[in-house]
Amino acid sequence: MAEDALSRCFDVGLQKARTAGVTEHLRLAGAPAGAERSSLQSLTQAPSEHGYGTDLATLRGLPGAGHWLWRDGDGGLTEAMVRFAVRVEMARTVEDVLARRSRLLFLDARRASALAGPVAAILKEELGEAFDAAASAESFRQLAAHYLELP
Amino acid sequence: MAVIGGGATVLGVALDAAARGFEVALVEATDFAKGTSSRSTKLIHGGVRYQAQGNIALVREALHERGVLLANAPHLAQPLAFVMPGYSWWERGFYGAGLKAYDALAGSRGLGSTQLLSTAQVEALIPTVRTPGLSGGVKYWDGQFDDARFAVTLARTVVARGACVVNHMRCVNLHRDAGTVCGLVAEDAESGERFTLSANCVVNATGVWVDAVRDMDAEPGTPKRLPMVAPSQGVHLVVDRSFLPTDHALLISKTDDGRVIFAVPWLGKTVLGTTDTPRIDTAAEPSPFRDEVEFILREASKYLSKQPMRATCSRSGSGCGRWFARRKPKTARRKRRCCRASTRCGSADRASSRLPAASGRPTGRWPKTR
Repeated sequence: MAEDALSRCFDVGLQKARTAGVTEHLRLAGAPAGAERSSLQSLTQAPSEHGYGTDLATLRGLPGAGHWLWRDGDGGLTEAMVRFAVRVEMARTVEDVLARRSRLLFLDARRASALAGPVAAILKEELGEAFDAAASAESFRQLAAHYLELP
Repeated sequence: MAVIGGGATVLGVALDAAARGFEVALVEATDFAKGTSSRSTKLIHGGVRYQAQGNIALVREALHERGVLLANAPHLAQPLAFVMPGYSWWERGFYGAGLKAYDALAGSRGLGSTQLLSTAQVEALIPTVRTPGLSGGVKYWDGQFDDARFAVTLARTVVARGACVVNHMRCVNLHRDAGTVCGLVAEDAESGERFTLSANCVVNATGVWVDAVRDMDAEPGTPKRLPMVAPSQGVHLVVDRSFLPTDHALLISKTDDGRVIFAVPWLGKTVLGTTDTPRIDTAAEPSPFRDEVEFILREASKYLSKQPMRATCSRSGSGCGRWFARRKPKTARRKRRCCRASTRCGSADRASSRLPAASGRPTGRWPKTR
């Protein structure tokens, strides 16, 4: 698909063509290789530290690695995961963290809504004074309320 | 190369371009995968549905892409076994034969062999399957993934290849030179600061919003072009793991009214889906229609011993999917046919300004780079 889109750019003369196929064996960030794969957790289970692949050591080195904001079996969401979302995964809002770095909004919107405040407080520490924690938390709570309504 | 949009498809385009050595900048108006890419079925299939439509070339391509994705992102995308229970004497043999052909097409990319199951085996793999009338089944392999984390991780990978990738940065205007788009203006959603990017090539991949960006590209005074996309939405419901306490997914390929329904174990919960309903707008947070919720609950109740009720559900993604429409499609069926043709090749806008547009396949089918 990506190759097709680039081919179009070449075909209409917007870019000079370069050889395709470079992404065939390009591992994504955090993707473990070989034997390390066996330590990965199944996606059927609650999300845990073991979904971070080769980023696990970085994650555990962040403040709050043992501080669980939400717990589900061996998984859940730690304070360190929120910091990782900001420092490594480019999160800028409470929604970025709870809807897409963690999937808690989709898994349990009620619990996600309850975590809006604590997550916003961590984001404030990470992003600094310019970050409007109250607005980010409130906007996320409204979104979560929308997910709890069924027509 | 400048890229507008931060969905999974265009992040794949950006990654491919950056890996080939192009200088790439990508701007996303809100967050990566906020639109359709975080609201997929969470399934990666090798095109089993295209096989039913007889499009073998597309099955081969999708199987190849499934293999690339599972190999390059094993922390985010993994094989998943599906069980199709049979309730008629012919179902096991019919679906079993089709899925064995699917295995053969996968070849060395296969994830596991299709297996014909006895009634007792189906019950052992899916403890909550409805048993009255059950007559064996079939087990086959496809994949599942965490769609939003996958897109975010793609973005990180593009950055690691030297590209400039920014979220919360909206494209507010396109620059033209002698009829050709040669750059864009982007505005930082946090600070309001504006940035101008120059590029040989600007790729518009804003999903269901693709037509709005195309209109920025129009010469003043020219009539509006026919829309490229006809949005539709699919709904999934999330229920407790107790509805499907197993690592196997349950798939019904033909409900009484000919639709597909599945129950999939995902991140400690059960995801029930799915629907496909045309929409006239492109809401950022689309709401499910009552009919869609009713359909999923009613059909899931037919195949599960524990009945999901409204009170036990929360909504997962009701995301706007993209179906390409060449003209005004009259019916959903018409749209789907257009979609099949156009998703093969993406689409490049042939207008004189040469603003290429890219679109992914609808939920669950994945580009080569992933």
